[in-house]
Amino acid sequence: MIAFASSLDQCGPLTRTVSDAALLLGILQGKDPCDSTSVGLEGGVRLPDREDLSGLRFGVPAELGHDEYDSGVRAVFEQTLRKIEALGGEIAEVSLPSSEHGISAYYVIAPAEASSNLARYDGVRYGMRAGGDGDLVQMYETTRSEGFGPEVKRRIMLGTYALSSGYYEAYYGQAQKVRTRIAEDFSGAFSGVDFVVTPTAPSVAFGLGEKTDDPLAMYLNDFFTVPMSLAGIPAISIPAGLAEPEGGGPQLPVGFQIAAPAFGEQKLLDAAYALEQGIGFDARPEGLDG
Amino acid sequence: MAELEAVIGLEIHVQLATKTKMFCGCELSFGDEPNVHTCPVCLAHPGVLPVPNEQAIRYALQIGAALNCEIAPRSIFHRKNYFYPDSPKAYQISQYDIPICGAGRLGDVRIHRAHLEEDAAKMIHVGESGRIHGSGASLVDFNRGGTPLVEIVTEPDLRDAAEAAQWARLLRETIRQLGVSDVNMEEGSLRVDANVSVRPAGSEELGTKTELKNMNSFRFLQRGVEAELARQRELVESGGTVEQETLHFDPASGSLTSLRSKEEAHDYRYFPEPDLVPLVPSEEQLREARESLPELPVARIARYQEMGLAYDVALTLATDPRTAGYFENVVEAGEGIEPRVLANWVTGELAAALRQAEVDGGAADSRISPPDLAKLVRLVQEKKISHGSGKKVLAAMVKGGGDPEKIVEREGLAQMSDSGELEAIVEKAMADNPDAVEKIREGNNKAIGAIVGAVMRETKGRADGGEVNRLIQEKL
Ligand SMILES: [Zn+2]
Repeated sequence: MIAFASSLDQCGPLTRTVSDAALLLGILQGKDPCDSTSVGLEGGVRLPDREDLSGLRFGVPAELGHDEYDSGVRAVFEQTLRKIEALGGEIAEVSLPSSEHGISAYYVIAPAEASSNLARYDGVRYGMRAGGDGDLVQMYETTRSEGFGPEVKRRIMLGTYALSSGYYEAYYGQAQKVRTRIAEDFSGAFSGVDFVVTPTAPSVAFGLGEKTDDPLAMYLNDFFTVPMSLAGIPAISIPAGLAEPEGGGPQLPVGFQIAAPAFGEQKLLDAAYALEQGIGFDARPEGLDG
Repeated sequence: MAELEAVIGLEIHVQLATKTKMFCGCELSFGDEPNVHTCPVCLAHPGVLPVPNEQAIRYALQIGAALNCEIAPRSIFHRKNYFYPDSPKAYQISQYDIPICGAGRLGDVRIHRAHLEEDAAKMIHVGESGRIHGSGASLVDFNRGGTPLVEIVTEPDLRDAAEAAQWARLLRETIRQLGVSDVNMEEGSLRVDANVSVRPAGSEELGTKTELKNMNSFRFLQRGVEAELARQRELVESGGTVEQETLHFDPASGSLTSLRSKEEAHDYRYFPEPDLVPLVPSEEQLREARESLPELPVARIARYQEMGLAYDVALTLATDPRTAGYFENVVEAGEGIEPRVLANWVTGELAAALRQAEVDGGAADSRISPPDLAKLVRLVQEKKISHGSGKKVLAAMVKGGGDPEKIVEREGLAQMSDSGELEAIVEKAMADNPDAVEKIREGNNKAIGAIVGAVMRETKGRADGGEVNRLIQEKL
């Protein structure tokens, strides 16, 4: 795994089913001697087999305003909450007041770390080199100008700025404080519920390249998933149904996100499995038989 | 204008003598073929992560204990970002606002902090000067890159160049005796930078400082600081102001050149290293660090001074633990003789005799056992032989060892006991040196040396100097 934003980077399974995710996580997890920040899950990961959700409490953030996501997404989200209740789970309200600042914090921390992580691509030792006939600084500049794409450059610039002397406290320092608050919000919430649930994204998938000119709109797409990454807790997204995009068009999958306390992966997989079975979402693309 | 006072602080980089690098498994080396001790981690390939070297942490804790530093219960690593080919990640993993070792003290100098970091790779600038200016190309040797370093920063407690060099020696000796570094300045395992400023004597405020980089011997440190202090004094006394800058001292020409000014100072964009967890030393690690400390030079000096030794003799012994051990054995065997006298024999006469005989190694490696040396000193103290004869016996002992009493007997060096014989020799010496006698009468006491010398020649050093003096005075 190549570092982008080290304090947020993680490898997670991307699979068709919860069982596959559990199988893969069972392999991925564990203390890695080459990564001093890693820890193993006690007892490893076993295949989930839970059939209902009785005795489990699912918290919906009170701050989840309706403006933040599409009506189609909302319909699927609410329908999934009813499904949870049908499976014996309980829906409760939780408060995550700092989560709304998650995106702002994320887009300071991630570019800051990225600006440092991507600095090694300087043309000195490996990879692309351009402008090697000039002096050192000119070679650095040409290599990096030509080698990185616009979004990467945008993040490097943002991150370099956020870490500069005189701006550090206002940006990176502040973002770290927000991050701590978000983590505290979650640990508060988990004192009353087993899981926190949200839609995975505010809308169904947008078209390729559609938001490239509006990076802010693109960043907002991570609104629901970023707080979990900042808090350092496990979360899973499972397909919960289909919805039309806000502007019309063919129906597309809607994700349902479940987050658990740190090291609650097994519990999370068990609950996601039960819900997945209850929803019975057909992941096969349309028009494909068998 | 009030007299100007020098204010000096030191920053010392100590390469730790671990087996492997700070964050990877590559072997530490010096003088090997370039770029053979490298791996994906210390070459900063994509996708690698640092794993801290436990031994380096242990060594840093030992240094902290030796310098009486407060150890941080939880210190963190930071990234120091800068683009330069000696830094393959384009950042150095260092410590910033919470170093592993906080405030401490060594001798009269307060320690500000000591922190762990990794060394940069070595740049070799192709060209005559070996420096970057005027060089056509630069090569990078990554063997050194990632070597564990402890950077020790003092408070600005030093007041002149000689004191700075003296204290730096004490620090090097302390670290050397911990066994955590080779502390070889020429090879760069100990590197000293000095922060230098001047201010009106008695002022509490600090003047603008300049930083002298990387002086690779204590002599150059002293000369560099002297040169910079002279420059600053002249500047301030002629109404100028010192500009903050980093300087290089060239020992060959004695000149100072500016490496970079304040405006050119880097913005290192420090931030906590997300690839590492905080460093939390366990109780056991802390106890181990404290218990592993040998008796350090500062403590030894204090103990020897209490025994009556002069500071510089105590320092000489404290910087050489094996000779110090030898000295302590001599003290034990020489009960009743002042340790001060024995120390002078060990660090003075014996050291000189070993040098004279071109014997390798120190007192502890010599053929003279501590009881034999004590016995010899006792012979001199009890005036059984003269000091000069004592030296002769010592020279014989250096060559073949042996009992000093037997050597005295064999060589016929016993002090002249017949005072009548000595008296006659003194009278003859005075008669032979009428000029000297005249000068002494006129009050020039130095002239007595000529007569004493003549007596010693005649007696082959067997006469007691004190007795000879007494006789001369009597005859006058
Ligand atoms: Zn390596």
